[in-house]
Amino acid sequence: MSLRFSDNKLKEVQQIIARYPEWRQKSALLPVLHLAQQEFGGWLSPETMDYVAGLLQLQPIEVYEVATFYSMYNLKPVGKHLLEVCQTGPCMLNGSEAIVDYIYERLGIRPGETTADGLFTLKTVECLGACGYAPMLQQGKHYREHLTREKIDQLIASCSGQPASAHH
Amino acid sequence: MARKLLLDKAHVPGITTYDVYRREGGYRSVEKALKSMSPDQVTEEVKKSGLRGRGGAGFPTGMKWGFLAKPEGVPRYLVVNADESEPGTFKDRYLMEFIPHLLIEGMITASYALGSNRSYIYIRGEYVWIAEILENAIEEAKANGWLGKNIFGSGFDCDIYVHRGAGAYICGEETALLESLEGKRGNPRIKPPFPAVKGLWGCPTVVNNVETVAAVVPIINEGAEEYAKIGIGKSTGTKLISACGNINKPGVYEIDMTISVEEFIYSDEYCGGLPTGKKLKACIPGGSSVPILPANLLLKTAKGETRMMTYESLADGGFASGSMMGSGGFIVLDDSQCVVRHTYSLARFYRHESCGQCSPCREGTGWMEKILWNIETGKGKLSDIDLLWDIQRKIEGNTICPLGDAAAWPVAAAIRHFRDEFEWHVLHPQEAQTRNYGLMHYADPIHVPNSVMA
Repeated sequence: MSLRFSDNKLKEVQQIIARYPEWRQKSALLPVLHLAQQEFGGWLSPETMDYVAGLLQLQPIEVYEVATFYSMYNLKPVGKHLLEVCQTGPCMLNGSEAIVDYIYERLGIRPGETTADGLFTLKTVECLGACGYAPMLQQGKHYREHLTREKIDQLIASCSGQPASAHH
Repeated sequence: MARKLLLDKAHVPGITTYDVYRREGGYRSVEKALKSMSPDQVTEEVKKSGLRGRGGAGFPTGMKWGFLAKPEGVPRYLVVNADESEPGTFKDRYLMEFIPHLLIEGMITASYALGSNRSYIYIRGEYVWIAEILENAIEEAKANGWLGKNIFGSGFDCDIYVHRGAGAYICGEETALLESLEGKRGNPRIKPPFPAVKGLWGCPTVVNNVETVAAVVPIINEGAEEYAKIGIGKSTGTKLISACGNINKPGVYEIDMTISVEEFIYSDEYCGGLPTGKKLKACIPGGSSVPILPANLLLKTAKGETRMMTYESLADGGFASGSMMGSGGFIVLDDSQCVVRHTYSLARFYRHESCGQCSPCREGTGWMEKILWNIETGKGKLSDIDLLWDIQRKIEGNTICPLGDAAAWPVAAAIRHFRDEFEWHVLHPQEAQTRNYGLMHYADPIHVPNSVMA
């Protein structure tokens, strides 16, 4: 198998495992899946999940059932910039639907779709705990709040100008 | 000016760092507890304070601590629930982001009371930067001797770890949270056994909300009696309210539970009223799962009394005419909003977040979403309203965890109080696509009948 964490990341995995008592390393599964998704292309391929299973001495099924349960794990490839627009009640009251429409107007993608150049994927997600700062979206590890059309324009411009290797 | 116990120092420059936090009196509660109190005395103070769980259920915290089993040679755990994900709720995020050491301090004191040598913060996965803030705070606390082995010669060992979730509302339910912390799907457990007896890895565990644990700090510092003097009746202390929706000043406010709902919405100290020209139509006062109330029932109870921002007053009238304090997620809807569409949005949320273990919730949430969408888009029938009512009734109380109730209540309350808006959608499907129902009679004073002689 070609897939492997760097030595630094393997050290990080060991630090994560050490947060839990002995023989409880299954608890490290969620954090290690986050790490794997970040390291291996922004999504969890079957190969990635099998690798994590081996690393934590779990059956592959134990990893699959977790990866398919939580919404932050991507089970399909996503664009370089994943835009996750919150669509739940409080964001809806403040115009989240118009934000989704405007992104379509700008990028031609609906929720679940990726631009042809692979730069952007749009998703709608449920409440991210930013209700007072609505409408909002999550982009990688960042919350973009109080969204307006201008802010979407800026965001698209700054993402489009970035070199292809940058992660966030 | 309301008394602030949690956020009074939240905007002192540099308060996220240990040095400033300590200079401002931080970690005194740990000193006091470890040097002059037994673990049981700390628990006793929390009991006397009247503190109630701030996550949503409002269960007395001291009593919960008192239930913790203490078998010889078995570790016990404190797990902080920072999986804040009830729509409308963003208070814990605020506390952790702006004054992270307050949570760490409360956790050390609480861990001492409970005998937890290894405590966890389960934080929702999306709060990536907050997890980093907390990890920094933990590192600083450890470097200054507040965590680790034999803390200040007390013989008490404690370490704190941050565990990030990965996107699942259900993990805010305490047994689902524990499953998730064990590296599994967030499927709630059947109770009993309760976590106090069999929790994390089968060991006795207390799961407390962020704000609850933070409140332990002022309780120990000022004493239970002082704490209990604030508030009304069984609503003691202060409460963080996260206000959002159609208001001028959305944000997180610490209230002392002595103010009215009207003051909270219209006072410049809090929400600052609604945008110019808009009128109050409805409000969900405690997070998306508690009943929505029309303006008239929100500001006054069915008995005509002023409704207060307390656990008791918000619940006055039961579900027939009241609501709940819940998690303190205060969502305001103005007269341009559509209750049907908003209810649909919440139904979609619960369908998405149902873990799928129990059929009534797994199937029922999907049916409710679809029926609401039909009504909203002009394809509904009048009988659909009764069908919705029937489905929500069959979900409530028939599931392992409270997510079923949480999904049922918003639909039930919307039909109970806004039935004519639903009917209007069905009877005027074309018109409903072009405009909203509006305020109508939802803010009209309610007739309070005189008491009738028996």
